[in-house]
Amino acid sequence: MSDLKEKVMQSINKKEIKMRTKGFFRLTRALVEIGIVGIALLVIFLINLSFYLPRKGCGLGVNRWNHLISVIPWEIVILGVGGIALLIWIIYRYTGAYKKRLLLVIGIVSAIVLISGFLLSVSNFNETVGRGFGRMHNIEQNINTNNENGNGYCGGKNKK
Amino acid sequence: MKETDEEVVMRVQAGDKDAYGEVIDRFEKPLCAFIFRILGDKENCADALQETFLKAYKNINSFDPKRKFSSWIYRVAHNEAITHYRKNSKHFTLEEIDEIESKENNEETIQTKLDSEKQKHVLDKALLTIPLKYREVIVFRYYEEKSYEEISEIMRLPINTVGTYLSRGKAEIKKHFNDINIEEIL
Repeated sequence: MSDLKEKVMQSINKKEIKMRTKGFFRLTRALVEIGIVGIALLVIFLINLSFYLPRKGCGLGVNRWNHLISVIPWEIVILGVGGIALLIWIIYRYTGAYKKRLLLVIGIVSAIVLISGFLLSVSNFNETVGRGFGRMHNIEQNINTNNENGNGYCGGKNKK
Repeated sequence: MKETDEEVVMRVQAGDKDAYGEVIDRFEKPLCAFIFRILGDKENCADALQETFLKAYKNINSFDPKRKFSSWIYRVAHNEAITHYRKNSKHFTLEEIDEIESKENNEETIQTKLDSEKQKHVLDKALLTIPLKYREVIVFRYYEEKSYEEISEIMRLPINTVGTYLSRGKAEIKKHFNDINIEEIL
């Protein structure tokens, strides 16, 4: 018996090293799948807000470019982009996606979440869910108040 | 009829600890040669190999017997080799490689057991001078005789990238050793 075999078999027989159960791997796999779906839904929701909030809060101003910059909810956009990066990393790391080119995976995942987020933003999801929970309503109210005071994403468009 | 690797592993998964001895017997030499070519250092190689077999045992239930066990265990060895390489990150110069080689010629090393031809030694020396990712692909393709698909599975790379790394690796070797033609040597 080789030295290596002896050492390894000794560790196994003395139970210094234990085999993980099949259940452990099933659970890990399930958690990864739940994680992917959960992060995807969260990212879609954030992208949806990135499209929805500026549209809901503001109209088009005289200086369109400055206006566009000012109405974008940057915190949410940054969170959304971070979420997409995390999603791509998990998918690439834990699924068979490595067989495809990384750029292709980035393109497909980004396209799916961006399109889904946009479609969600033009549906009546935000109104329905937001009013249901009362939170979106408050956000809308805050946006309107901020816009009126000149502090919102619209940079005081409605200020008179 | 000889049991397949996957059948032996199924016995291990069912709780037959001794069957793992059979797994070690089958894979000790090829994995040792693979890790040695990646790390170029006997001591690190032994540690990495032991870790490979311990980790493989710990995680053996994550292996799906419908797939190829050799690819799975090479993946474990690849991860271990990378970890050891990064931990002891050392990039060999040609002079250092000559030194290593002369030391190893005094002992009966794994290297000399496996490769007796002079040209293979030259190629082994050359391998240690090229970046790790190219080195691994060349070792898998030309020493372990793995298909592109297997290399892709072990290294988690797209098949096209495997091809790209292979040609870049060969080009890197040719840059230093003009007279080497890998396909002719192996």
